[in-house]
Amino acid sequence: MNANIENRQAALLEEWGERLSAYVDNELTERERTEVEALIASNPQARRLADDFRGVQTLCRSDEPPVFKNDLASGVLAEALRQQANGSGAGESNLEVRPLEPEGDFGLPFGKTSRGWMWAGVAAAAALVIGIYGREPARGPIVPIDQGVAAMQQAVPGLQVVNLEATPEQWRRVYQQQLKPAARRELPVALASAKRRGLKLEAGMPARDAAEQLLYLPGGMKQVENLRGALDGTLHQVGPDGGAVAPPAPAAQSQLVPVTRIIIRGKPGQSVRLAAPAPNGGSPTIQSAPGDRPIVLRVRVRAR
Amino acid sequence: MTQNDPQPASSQPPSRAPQGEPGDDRAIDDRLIDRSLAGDSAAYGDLVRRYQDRLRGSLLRVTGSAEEAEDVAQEAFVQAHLKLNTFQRSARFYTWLYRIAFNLAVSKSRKWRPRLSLTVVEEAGGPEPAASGESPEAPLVEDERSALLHDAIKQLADDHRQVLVLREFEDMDYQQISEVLEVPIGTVRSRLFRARAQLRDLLSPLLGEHAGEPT
Repeated sequence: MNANIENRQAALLEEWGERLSAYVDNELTERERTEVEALIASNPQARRLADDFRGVQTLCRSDEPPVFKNDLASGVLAEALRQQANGSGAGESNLEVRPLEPEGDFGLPFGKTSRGWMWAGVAAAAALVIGIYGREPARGPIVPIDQGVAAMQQAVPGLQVVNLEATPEQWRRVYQQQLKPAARRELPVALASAKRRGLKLEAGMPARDAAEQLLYLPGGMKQVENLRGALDGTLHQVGPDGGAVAPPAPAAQSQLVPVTRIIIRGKPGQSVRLAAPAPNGGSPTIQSAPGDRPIVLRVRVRAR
Repeated sequence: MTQNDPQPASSQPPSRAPQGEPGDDRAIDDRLIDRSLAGDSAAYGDLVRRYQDRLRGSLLRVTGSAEEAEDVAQEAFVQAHLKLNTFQRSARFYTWLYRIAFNLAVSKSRKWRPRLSLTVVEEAGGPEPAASGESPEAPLVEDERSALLHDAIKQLADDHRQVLVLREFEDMDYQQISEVLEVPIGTVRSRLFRARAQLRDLLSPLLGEHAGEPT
């Protein structure tokens, strides 16, 4: 008996199921609708089936939608800007599109052509939006600076890492008198290729008491000279290949330097691994003139 | 409604949260698109904010991964921005955007591995379950119901799940689903029926609970 009922239900499902499902969605033709309504009126099993489909629909639609905490807008705009400036356009599909800040001279063709000035305007608008929207903090433990610096130098060809050593007293004086946090704690676009190659970079406030930290200087070597003059510390510059470069002459003039602390995070218990470089060789930033090369200051504070 | 209920089944789908007049939504989209095309980045930021949660939520249900949903959504918005001047406006912006997102996910050979547990979602740093203002017992019941539903959805075949998400969670009609997935309407209808039939079997205890609820 039960087998007979099951057979009838299976046959009903096979013959009418698709139309009953579409009926629940009000997606039938007038003729089909008339037929289905006649069936429902005369066949309790068909009515039960339609009710079940509606029950499934109700269950799905009563399920609370997920709530997301972070805003994608700033990252989307910055990445779109980067791709436009890079000429990669819509063809590029790079999923690492976290927010990046267009600030300072980061190698985009601003001002060099009329189109460049247009991009400058777009960048200014994007920067405004970036300042308004929040971001999701990076996760994972901070990787050792040696490891992080090496990975950044691989990921950002042309990156200049300037080592700076100071006593705690010297550093506190410079920190108080020469440095100010960047207006927006966003990751510099100059370091975009590191981000794209899988490094988890996070922008932060410069630290007064950290034994060692990495600082991004948007103003380039001139700001390094200002800091060096103020610090009177030991300075030597390391090129992309790790070789030493002669230090520049100290600058007499000092001014507040906006800096962003760069924090590199990784996965627990794993060394930093880079993704393969982009086929186009990376961002335009790393192809800019030597004077425009991004600079990261590695500050070591130790008593003498 | 049960077998003994004399009322015929209604063809009206369950009500959803009010979303305003469709015409208004479209007009707002058009204004933001016009301003974006004129170089107003903030306008595109507004477009992103209008649809980011909806797109991420839908991708989350399809992929089962908050991280994948987030990545694909971001990339889809970037690609949509870059291609905005090619948008013909014959379809809704969101439909066009969703199609980009869907194609992106497929082109990246992402395998749908649904992991729709609340734990995974929270670990991924993405969505949080929405708070409920009902009785103290209600959240537990809702959580159990939700977990059962998610578990059932992840058992569906990929193409059945995609159609179901677009219909039940995106409230798209068959024509829209057909456009997004680039399949005939008959295929949409068939896949949706198969998905519902499977869910009906998997969720039969819950369907009893909902039998008396208004639709």
